[in-house]
Amino acid sequence: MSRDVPQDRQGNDVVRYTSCGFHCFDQCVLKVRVRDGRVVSVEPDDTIHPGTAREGEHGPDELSSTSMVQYRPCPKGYAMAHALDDPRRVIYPMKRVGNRGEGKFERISWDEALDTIAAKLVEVKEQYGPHSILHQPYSYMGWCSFPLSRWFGAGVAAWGAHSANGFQEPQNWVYGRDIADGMISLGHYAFTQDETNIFNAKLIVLWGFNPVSLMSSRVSHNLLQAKERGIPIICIEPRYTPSVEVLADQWIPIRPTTDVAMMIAMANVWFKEDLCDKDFVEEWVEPEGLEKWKAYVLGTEDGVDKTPQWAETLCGVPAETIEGFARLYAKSKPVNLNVSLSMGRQFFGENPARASMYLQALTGNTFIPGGTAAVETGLWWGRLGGSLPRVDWQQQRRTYRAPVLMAMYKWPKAVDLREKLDRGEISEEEFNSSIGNKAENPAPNIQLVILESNDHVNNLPNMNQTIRAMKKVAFTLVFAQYADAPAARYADILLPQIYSAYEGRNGGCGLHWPLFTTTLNLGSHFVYRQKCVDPPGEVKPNDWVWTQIAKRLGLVEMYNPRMAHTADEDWDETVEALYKEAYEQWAGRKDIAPLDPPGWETFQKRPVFRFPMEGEPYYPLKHHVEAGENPFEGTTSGKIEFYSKALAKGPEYLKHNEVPPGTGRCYGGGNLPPMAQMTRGGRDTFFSEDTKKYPLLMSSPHSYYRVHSWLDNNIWLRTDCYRHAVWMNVADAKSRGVKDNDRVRVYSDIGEMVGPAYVTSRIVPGTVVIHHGGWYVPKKEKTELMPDGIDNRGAPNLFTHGEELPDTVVGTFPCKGLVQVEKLGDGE
Amino acid sequence: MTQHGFFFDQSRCTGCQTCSVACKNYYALPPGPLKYLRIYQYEKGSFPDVRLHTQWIPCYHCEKPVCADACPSEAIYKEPAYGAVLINREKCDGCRLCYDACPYGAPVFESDELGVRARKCTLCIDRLLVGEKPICVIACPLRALDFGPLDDLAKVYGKERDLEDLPDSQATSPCIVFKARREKRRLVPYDSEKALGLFMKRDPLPTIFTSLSDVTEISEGLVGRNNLRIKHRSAKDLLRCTRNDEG
Repeated sequence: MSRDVPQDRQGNDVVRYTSCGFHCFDQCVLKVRVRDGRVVSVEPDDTIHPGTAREGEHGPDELSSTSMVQYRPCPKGYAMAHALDDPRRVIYPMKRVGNRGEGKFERISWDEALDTIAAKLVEVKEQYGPHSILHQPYSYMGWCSFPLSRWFGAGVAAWGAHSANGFQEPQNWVYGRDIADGMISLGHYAFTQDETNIFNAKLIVLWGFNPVSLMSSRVSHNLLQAKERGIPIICIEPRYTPSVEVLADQWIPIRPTTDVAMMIAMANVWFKEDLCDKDFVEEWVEPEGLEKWKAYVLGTEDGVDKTPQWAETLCGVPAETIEGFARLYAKSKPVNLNVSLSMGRQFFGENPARASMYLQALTGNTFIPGGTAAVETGLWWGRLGGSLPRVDWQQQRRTYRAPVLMAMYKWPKAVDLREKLDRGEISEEEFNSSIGNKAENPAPNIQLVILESNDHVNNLPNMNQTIRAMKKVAFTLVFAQYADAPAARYADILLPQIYSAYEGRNGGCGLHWPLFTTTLNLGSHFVYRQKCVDPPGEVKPNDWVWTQIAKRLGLVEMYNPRMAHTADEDWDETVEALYKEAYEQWAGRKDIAPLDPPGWETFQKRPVFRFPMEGEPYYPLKHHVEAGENPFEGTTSGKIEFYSKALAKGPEYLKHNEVPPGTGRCYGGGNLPPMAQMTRGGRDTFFSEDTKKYPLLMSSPHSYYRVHSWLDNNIWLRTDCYRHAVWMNVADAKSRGVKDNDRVRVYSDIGEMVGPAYVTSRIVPGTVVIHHGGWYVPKKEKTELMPDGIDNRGAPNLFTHGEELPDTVVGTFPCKGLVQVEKLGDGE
Repeated sequence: MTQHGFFFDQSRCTGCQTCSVACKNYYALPPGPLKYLRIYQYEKGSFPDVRLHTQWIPCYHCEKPVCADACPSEAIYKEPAYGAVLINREKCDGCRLCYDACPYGAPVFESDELGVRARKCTLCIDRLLVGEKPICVIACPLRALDFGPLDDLAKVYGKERDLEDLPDSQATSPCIVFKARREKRRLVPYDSEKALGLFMKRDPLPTIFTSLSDVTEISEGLVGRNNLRIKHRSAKDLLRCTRNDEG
């Protein structure tokens, strides 16, 4: 019988387990089949309940959160394996031979690469001082991620984070703590919830949240089960997404950047119809600030009563719908409100972030079973989040602490503006203000940029500014898998990036790349990423690279003492031995031993550790409630604060002070209102005056088929599964003579691209969507606006300005931009 | 023979294509039109009253395999243990009469070149023989799929063998049980016409569009993916129809 069965599964196949190694909220379990040193296939998680189709479903009344479930990957998990032996991959160290941006490189030896890097570090530090070296993407939240900074005595730290700070900062103003706070060993981050907490809800609201795209594993599956139990789910979203189709009972389309108006109008209904949870408000909400906000909502001060009729012309949501939704919300306690981070990532994004917390407080949903604190979507940390085994690298004590001198995504601006400061065209105070630095701090002079993962050229707002910055500095070092990745094009030295989930052993001696990994979403499990194959060519682990550079700088005994003398051929085994040691120490811990973790050798057969979470599901701040502690002790009043006195002090105060005090966060000035309000006409918003020139508001949501820019060039996904196109509403397409698949030109005052149009009824009129992470692929055609060539693929950050002082406060990481679209030609 | 088959729960399918990619990966199929499992996503209605449909089309391993009847080389046969419809590739001469006969377009071809042999979903017969379920079924992140003896599936999931927009099951008796997408529940009032009027204006700035029909009247070819077409004139056409715009 001749059958179509190409997988010879007898033979010498070796099965290994790992998880995707990208910046994904989920870390699904991949079963990897290896033959003759190559990955031949990836199969879904079978480390529990093998062969079960409808696996991991809770019984109809079951509430205990077992977490003993599979973590099934999405298409990315399968497609990534094809990248390992992609012939396009960079597998040797390279140096630039053309101009930065031309993407011309030639192979060099590791010795030449490492010698050059070490010499440049010394040279730049000597010439420009300690605040001249920037390493990304993890110089954020007060850290400097340059692995040698602490002993080399140079580097810059930054505040804020890629995705969260539009929400994180408001959490500190409102709750006195943020999502990163309150980690309790074998417990939870303060604000998180167990997966089964949602089954206690009477209404689930997904506001701007498309979990199917971003959190397709446990979060989506649990929301689906909630829906099938009959718990009502409403999606408020500018697009009709697959999440809306599969999870929601009802879609309420809304214009992007206007959500806060709807939230304010809901509160207006509650105040007028007496629908607030009075007891909760009296006990937990600071009254003076509440009165100030109430006065704003009811218009007793500015004469504008913020009714549903006021909001409908802004949001596009009929007043009757807002009223109906407000009443349903107030009467459906508990409400599980899940708000998208993207809402915080827009001009004045702190407003909807705060208002969503107010909604939960006014209805008494902040910390009850089934409720949420509206801190952000889906970050439902498992109980093992902070308790993973950790290798003790025995690094020496630091001799240098990098100062926080900017908001994390403002480094391109810091480079771009520096020459103006040097020429005396702007003052140091102005310079510092625009990058989120305190007025009295030293001004950073970044001259050496290291991009180790996450393509910052592609993924930061205002791509052309980032490109200018990459061209201006003295030296650039980029780690990348592809030489035509947007950041790689601007590298002086380009180092091959290992796929640490599959290849070799990146131990995590620096801040990242640990081999123990857990999902950010749900469940109490972790995965040990086993080595599946050797890397191709001369690809090396990042830790190895930094260890060799440390040797050249005389710092290796400080940075990586346990592997200072490890021979290259022993590298992987040595890392594994350190992980074994870490695991065994962890397994012996008093709090872990009762969970009965298997011995290392047994664990290696199925390297996924799970433990059942029994009892009542965790809900936000449950630990505090049970211990009788006040969860809001971090605010001045010890209550939930609607009004920030620090912000009320205004721009002059914010130039000199951290908010909240002592956090290492600084804001550089700006005019952020002290409480949530609707601001019309801000940059890159629906009601901006700029819409007269650029009438379409672009959003850049996450793609199902990329994590940021990872996998954009993966032909198993981009040609097979999806088309990267410009989403347009039928009306906007008609008025421009555009039909589906036509080539369109998208442009604004800061960028230009061409690509196909997707004409659809699934998006609000007046808006377009270009999914985040599409690479900048320059055409030969160059313009003043696009000096390296017009984009031929569709990189949305060509159109996102980033927020600008003095209209707002430095900190959010906007993913919106105003554009115009015109037809270029008929599609095929 | 115990006829085995699939269960597809359309109300759970997001159109993410995990099953299709996992299948390609497992069977080492190249990128391109050789999709044993095709996912179609298409919209119906007009803004804001729109729905997103998905179809999940491997081979349904029909009880009446018209592809086999159509094959002049007798290359297609019903496998005796599970009822899988399989192709003997040595006998296939690439005439594509099976493709013409199959209402679902299940046979697939690596290219448009004449003489390229037909290939198709094998029901993961190699996996079944070692006691495993088809790879697509255990890969689905939202657990929309199941597999087993057709009679057992009917006991658990019901007897529905037809799904909106798919060809009538009478013709070939496909071995699949369906659960259709759900009707939406309107929990709060929503006046679509009023909403359109609101979406038209951006006061005091210029209007977004001028008449409601600008949004609601949709001529042919204007909108991407607003119908289901599962039989394709070319490899390119197949790829275009089985892609979505979620990336």
